[in-house]
Amino acid sequence: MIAGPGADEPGFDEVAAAVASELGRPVVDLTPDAHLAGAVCRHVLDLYRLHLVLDRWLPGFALPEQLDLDHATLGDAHHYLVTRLAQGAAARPG
Amino acid sequence: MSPTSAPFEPTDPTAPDPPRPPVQRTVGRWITLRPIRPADYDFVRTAELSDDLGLRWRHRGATPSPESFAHTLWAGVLTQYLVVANADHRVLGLVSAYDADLRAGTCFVGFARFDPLDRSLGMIEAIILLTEHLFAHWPFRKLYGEAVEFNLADFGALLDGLLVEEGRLREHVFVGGRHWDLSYLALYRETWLANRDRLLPPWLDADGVAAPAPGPGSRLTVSIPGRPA
Repeated sequence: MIAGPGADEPGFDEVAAAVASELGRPVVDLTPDAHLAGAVCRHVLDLYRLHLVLDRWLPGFALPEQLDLDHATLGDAHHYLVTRLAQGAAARPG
Repeated sequence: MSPTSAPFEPTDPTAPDPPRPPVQRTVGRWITLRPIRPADYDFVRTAELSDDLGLRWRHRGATPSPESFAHTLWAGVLTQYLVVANADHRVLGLVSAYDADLRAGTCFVGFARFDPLDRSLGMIEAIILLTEHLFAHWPFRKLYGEAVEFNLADFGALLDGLLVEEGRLREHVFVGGRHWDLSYLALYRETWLANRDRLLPPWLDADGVAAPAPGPGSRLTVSIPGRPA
């Protein structure tokens, strides 16, 4: 189900489970410290698909461009997602 | 119509919904596919002849004149767009579909990233939007991409169940003092339909149907650096 701005903020475990299911990663590996580049996403296509997972809570959400993806973690992604949800800002382009 | 009949019949609530009209999708999360304008030619020519792209893209080290560049830019092209970042309107690159063969049901797809340091997901999204555009609005059976040997590693993620290598010309391309293999990769319509719903953002399809409904399954794309000169 797709929820828009104002939807309940997902817990980290909820996000991790969705990412694990979509990207085929063991959920036990997806801790808040798991690096997006490598542990979570094997290649750039996985990173693209990670955004589609996050769309479930905020359609059109994109990680900040300033985020250094070499060091960013799944905990960072969760943090920015819930921050945007709390802001209630529509992230959909256009 | 009799004088007493109503101009519009009441809607039958049990009738199926009318089919939604097809739509064209050129705006994504990160980028917009913008048609190339004549005013873009100098910029595109400079990018294509840069040290980063000069050998990897279609000219392979040659420097066509501005006049002939404008011609070659459109030679055999079916559809071609600049990839423009939504955030700051930077031109990230170019995607192109060319050498379409409607009898065979095939078309080549190529892409060029203008900034080698660009690590955004814009080019991936551009390729996905172009792929959807091609399969939705032309009856292609498959899309081809060409990859010179030294570019093939870039396709590792896509070769994992999405693209298949259908041919390889041994030592076909001469560049950098040696010959390199040229691979022909293919993305089949069936593969795209089985995967598109996991690659296209759900909100992208909210207002219309851009392609036949996919079957159950997963996702993906096509592409290729290095289209023929």
